[in-house]
Amino acid sequence: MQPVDPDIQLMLAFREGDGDALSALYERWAAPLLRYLERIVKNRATAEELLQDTFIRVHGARDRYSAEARFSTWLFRIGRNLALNELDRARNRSPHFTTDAPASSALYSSSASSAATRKVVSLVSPLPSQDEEVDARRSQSRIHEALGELPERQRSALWLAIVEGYSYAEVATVLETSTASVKSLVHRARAQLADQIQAEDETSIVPVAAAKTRKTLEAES
Amino acid sequence: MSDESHRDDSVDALLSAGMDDALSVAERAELDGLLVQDAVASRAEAFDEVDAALRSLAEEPADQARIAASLETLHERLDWAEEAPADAQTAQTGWPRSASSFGLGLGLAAAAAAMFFFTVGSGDDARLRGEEVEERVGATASLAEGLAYSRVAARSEAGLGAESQAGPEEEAMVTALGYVEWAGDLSELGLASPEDLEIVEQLELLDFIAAREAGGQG
Repeated sequence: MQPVDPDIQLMLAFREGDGDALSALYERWAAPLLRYLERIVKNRATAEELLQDTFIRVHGARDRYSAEARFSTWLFRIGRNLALNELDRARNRSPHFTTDAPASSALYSSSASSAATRKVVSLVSPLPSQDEEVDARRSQSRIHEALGELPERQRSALWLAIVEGYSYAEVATVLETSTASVKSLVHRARAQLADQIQAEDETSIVPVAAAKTRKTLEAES
Repeated sequence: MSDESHRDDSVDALLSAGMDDALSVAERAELDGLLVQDAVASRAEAFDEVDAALRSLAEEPADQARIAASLETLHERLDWAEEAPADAQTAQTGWPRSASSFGLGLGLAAAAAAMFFFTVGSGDDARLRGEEVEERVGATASLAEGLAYSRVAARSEAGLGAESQAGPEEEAMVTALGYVEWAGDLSELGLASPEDLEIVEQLELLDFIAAREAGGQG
């Protein structure tokens, strides 16, 4: 006997009138959905509004809910559609707006600039105890920026498959496309990010090597 | 690793699908054969690095206090929605119907007033300043009153009598906003179209209304 999906149990309870079940679903899914919506709209405040709008849609559609698929794929599909609508509205308001531009919100630019600062510091005075943390943050920062430059469908497919752990079929449900298309979207997204990482690695070999030499000399002296 | 191997699309496709356990037996065998090559192994490491970096983005702890506050706001919005009949407009705008209708009414009235004063008015002296428009429109309780006020005021400012015939521009605008004049009264034809609402949004009047409502509640 297959274990029953707790989300489906909660949604069915909510459909039967248990208001606390909706709160429980919110608590379970707000963080991952918010992270995903932020990847689409690239703005924290807008993503938070969309998060609430998504659950208002869930609330309104509770009587029509059928437990045929994972609750979260349904939830993410609603959220993505609302986010795309929001981007369309933004584009209409500002003709030069582009959904695939690098992240430009204060949240992202501030983290990017601080990461850039850390990168410089790491080359100048890399304390041995901080090396791994610095490398991780640098990797995080550049993947964040590179991810923001991907087309939305590639970005969504990669995020849902890798971070949320969805199967290609589940990603296809969220994106309302075919499994073959998802396979292609994920592969192209991964390849583009890997290209950028490899290109950056190759251009940063010299300064990193210089910094390591300096660190070695300091350790010896 | 050469540039060519960086961008070998078929190898990338195999590697990517392999990482997601989405390969057939034959494809898996082909990939295993390729992985003995340094270039392919290096590419696999780059893909691994991408996945690890992506997962690390999601490892940042969620702000639980913020999520709790957000849940509270959600309940408030749902409570508002249940006070008035739920409809598609609620889900589309994210505003409760009561607030949405009120906002729509004021928005259309303010749009009407603004358009009258900036298009019908004969000169700077005949135009009301923005704050004055807001104050007068805000004092009206409904869209019909707002429109009626703006029509009379606009005609007066333009030197026309209150009972004079409306011009074609004025009639077109009132019709576009979903209203028709019948025996001196304004009657609703139906909801304004999305395009009309877009006009209101573009005028940024909804922001103005939201600010007013926030101020009124506070």
